[in-house]
Amino acid sequence: MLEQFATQVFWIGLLKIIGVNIILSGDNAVVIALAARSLPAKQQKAAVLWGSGAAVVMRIILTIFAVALLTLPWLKLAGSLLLFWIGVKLLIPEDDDVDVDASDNMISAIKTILIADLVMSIDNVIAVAAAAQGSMTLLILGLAISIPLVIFGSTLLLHLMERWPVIITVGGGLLGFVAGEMLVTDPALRDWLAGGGVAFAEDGKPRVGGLSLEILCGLVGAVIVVAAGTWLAKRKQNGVQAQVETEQPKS
Amino acid sequence: MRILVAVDGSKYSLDAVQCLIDHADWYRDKPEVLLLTVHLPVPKLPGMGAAVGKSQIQKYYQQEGEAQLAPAKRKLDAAGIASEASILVGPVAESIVQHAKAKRCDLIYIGTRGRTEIGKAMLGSTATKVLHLSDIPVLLVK
Repeated sequence: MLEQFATQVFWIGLLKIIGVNIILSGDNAVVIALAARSLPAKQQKAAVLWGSGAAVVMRIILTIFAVALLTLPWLKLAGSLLLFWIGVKLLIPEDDDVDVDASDNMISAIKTILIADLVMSIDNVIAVAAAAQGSMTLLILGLAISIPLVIFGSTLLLHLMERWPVIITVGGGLLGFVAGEMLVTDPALRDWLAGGGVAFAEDGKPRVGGLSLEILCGLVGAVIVVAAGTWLAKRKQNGVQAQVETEQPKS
Repeated sequence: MRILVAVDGSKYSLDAVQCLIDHADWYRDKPEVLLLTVHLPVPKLPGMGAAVGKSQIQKYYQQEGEAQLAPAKRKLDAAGIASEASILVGPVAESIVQHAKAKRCDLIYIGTRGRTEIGKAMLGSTATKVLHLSDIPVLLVK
C-alpha cells in the first residue's frame, strides 16, 4: 500500500478525484449553504459538521458499491448513459415553483443536507468511481479530502456560481467527458471495438492510431453534453427572465 | 431631486454614500434618497427543489441584501437623510438602471470600485456598465 503513494499515477488519480468531486458538488454546496442559513448562527456550524460527517460516510459507502458494480459488463455502459443524462439535465434550469418548509431546527437541517447530498450525488458517485479506476485507497482519500472542502466552502462556492454560472456548464462538460471515457472501457464492448480496428495496449486501454480512445470519446462526450444542454436550456427559457423584488419598509 | 444610490456593502460603495452626504447642499431641496442593492440570482439546479424552497432562497436574498444595505443606511441616518431601501435580484447593472427608471430618479450615484476586483478585470466594472446602459445622469464616485 505504501508504494502506491510514491507513484505519479497515484497523485494524478487523486487530483482527478478531488477535481471531479469539487466541480460536480457545486449543486450540493448550494443546497448546504442555503439550508444551513435558516438556523441560528450558533447551530449552523454544528449542523454543517454533522451533516457533512454523515454525508462523507454515506458517499464513501455508495461509491464503493459503484466501483464494484462498474467491473461488471454492460454496467459501465449504463452508468455512462446515466451520466450523459444527468449532465444534460444539469444545464437546464429547474422550475422553482415548489416550496418546502424552511427548517429551523438542527435535526431537520441535517436531514435536508443529507437528502440533498443523496439526491444530488448520483453524478459524483459514478464519476468518482470511474475516476478511481479500481483503487480503494485513491477513492477513500479523494472523497475524504474533497467532501469537507465542498461542505465548508459551500458559501464561497455558492457566490462563485452566482457570479460565474459558466461553472455549471464546465460541470456538465466534465460529466460528459467522464461518461465518454467510461463508455469505451466497458468490457462488453471490447470485442466489438477490437473488431472495429481499435488496438488494446498492454494495460487494457483502447487506442486508435496512437491516440487514447478514452480521451477521444471523453472530448466527444463533453461536446455533446454541453451542446445538447445549452440548446435545451435556450429552448426552455425562451426569453423568460424572472425578477423578484422585496421592498423594505420605509424608514 | 430623487437620487438612486447603488451599494454592495463594500468600502467603495460607502464612499459614494459619503460623497452624497458631503455634497447634500448641492441640491436646493433635501434630496430624496433611494438605496438599492442587487443580488445575483442563485443558480437553479436539478433536484434543488427537494431540499431548498422558494421562501428559503427569498430569505437568503433578504438577509444578504440587508447586510449590504445596513452600513449605508446607518451613514445616511446619522447624517439625517431619509432613505428608502430595496433589494433586487437579477443582473446587477441592468437592475440598477431599470430600478432608477421605474422610480423616476434624476441621478444615479455609484462607487467605481466594488467588491469584485477579479470580475472587473474580466468583464468591466458594474459602474461602467451602468454608465453605458443608463439614460439618466450617472455620478461615478472614485
